[in-house]
Amino acid sequence: MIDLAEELQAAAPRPERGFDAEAVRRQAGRRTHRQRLLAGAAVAMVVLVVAAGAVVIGGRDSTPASVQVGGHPDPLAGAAPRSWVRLLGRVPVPAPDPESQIVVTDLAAARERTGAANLPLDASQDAWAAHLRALHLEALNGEPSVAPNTLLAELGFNQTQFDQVISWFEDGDRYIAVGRFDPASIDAAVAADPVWGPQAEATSHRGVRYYRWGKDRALSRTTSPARPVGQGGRLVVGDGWIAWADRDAAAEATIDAFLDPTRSLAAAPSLRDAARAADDAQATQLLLLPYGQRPTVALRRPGTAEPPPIDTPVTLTASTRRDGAAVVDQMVIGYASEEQAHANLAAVETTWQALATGFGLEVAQRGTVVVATVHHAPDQEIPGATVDGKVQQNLNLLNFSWFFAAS
Amino acid sequence: MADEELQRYCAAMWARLVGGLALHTGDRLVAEDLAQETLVRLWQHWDRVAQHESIDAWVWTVALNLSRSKHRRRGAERRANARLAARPLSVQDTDAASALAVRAAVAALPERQRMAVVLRYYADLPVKDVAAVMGCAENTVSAHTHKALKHLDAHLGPTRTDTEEVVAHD
Repeated sequence: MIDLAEELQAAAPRPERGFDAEAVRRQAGRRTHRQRLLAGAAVAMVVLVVAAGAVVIGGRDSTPASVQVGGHPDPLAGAAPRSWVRLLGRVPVPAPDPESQIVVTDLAAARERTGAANLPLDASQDAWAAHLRALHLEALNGEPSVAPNTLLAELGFNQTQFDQVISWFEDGDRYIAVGRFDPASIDAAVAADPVWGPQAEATSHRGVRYYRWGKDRALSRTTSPARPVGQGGRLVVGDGWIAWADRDAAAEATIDAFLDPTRSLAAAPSLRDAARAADDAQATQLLLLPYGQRPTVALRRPGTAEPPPIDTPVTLTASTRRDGAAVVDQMVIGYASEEQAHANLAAVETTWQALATGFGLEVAQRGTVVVATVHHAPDQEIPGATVDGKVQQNLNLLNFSWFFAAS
Repeated sequence: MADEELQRYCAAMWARLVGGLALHTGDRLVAEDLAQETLVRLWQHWDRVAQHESIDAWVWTVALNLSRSKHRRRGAERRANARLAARPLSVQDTDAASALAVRAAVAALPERQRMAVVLRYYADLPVKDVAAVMGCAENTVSAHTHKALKHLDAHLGPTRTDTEEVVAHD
């Protein structure tokens, strides 16, 4: 007989480092200070956009990369209704943070490609997890992480109604979903909610409605199945789309981006080029790192030569398409100009050839971006590549981000 | 709780959080980053969290939400990997075979079952708190743990638990 509790205690890895109270105290303090600066920073950004027509958002620390946003009359011109570019047009530019990551998932495309039927509205968590596996999606990469039936009961919508969803983290999880929502059902659920209903406050920004529960980012003793941490949040109810945020400014920035895409990520040329490449690759999921990341080959096959240096890109994106028998992953490295992209093409190709031996690989330049496309079988191992004792499988999104781990 | 007491709580919770998150994510370095992020949040929101009925439940809720949030997890993975970059790539796990077997068996569980096992048997939270952390009913927790134990029995041999709230649902 095995005592599970004892076995788990014995099996759980021990921390490599001790608890660093000073670091925790410092981080907690820094963020509080950062939160105080947010309102001022947002105002300054708007002033810059109006004054210059463009704003350069530089990376922090020694990262020199930047995202050029603005100066484009209509970044969505010619974009198909369900294109990745149009989705980026809904995302307000996040605060400059090298940790920023945005994940876009096209559930409708994944269903079309796999032939999987959508779930009923009252689906359970297990059913939802099985559905994502059937779509070859690891997860929606963001919230909501509660069961669809739980979310529906509390907020009148759920993830089975999502066609496309964009999620990111900016001092809190945020997501925007495009889909088939019933505003009347949302209104009814919010009003009938015995836990959060009394705190619900309906308001609007530029004619778009949103609900708020409590003060910005406030944590209360109120918890519920869909909000177990005690944070009420903000729910934007648009026409055919919803958004979730944790404070008024975030909800309103989402509305602003939706109404004016020149203030969205779609206005960044390297991101727009990357999104188009993902469109062409018929990707169903896209990971986007909008701020400069220094590429270092943290995941490298043993015995291979040190890769040539690659200039710090402005943006990085990774997208994937999984049809069951075949996987197509794409890494898109964005630069400020076509000339800079061209200057890095050979180095990127050399690096990827060393890593992806045995995989089908194509590397090409496309405007301001360098695109590395990898074809492989599901769960194909990377020969000899081990990290922390584990053999790495797939050149998937996760490994892409590992590959480009910031040094 | 005074600042010193909060620090003592965090210090005591640190290894437990790292262990539980490592079982949940399958990666110790990622677990360390997530644990630190969790304690930062605890520090930031302490005035309110201190009023919660179960501080442990709040902490585990935040920790597992961070773990499930791919954004943060990927950020943690990148930071962890940056630390790994300076180390040999073929690090062999030197832990005992039995520990590796338990980890592998836990890692093979579906996510909700894995969470239930970690919270109930590793973190030692009462079923009521596990249900609150997972955002589900207590009998759902029991169903998850029951299925998980069946899986672990098959891989590790018959499992004994001292807390027999787990009921058969089959």
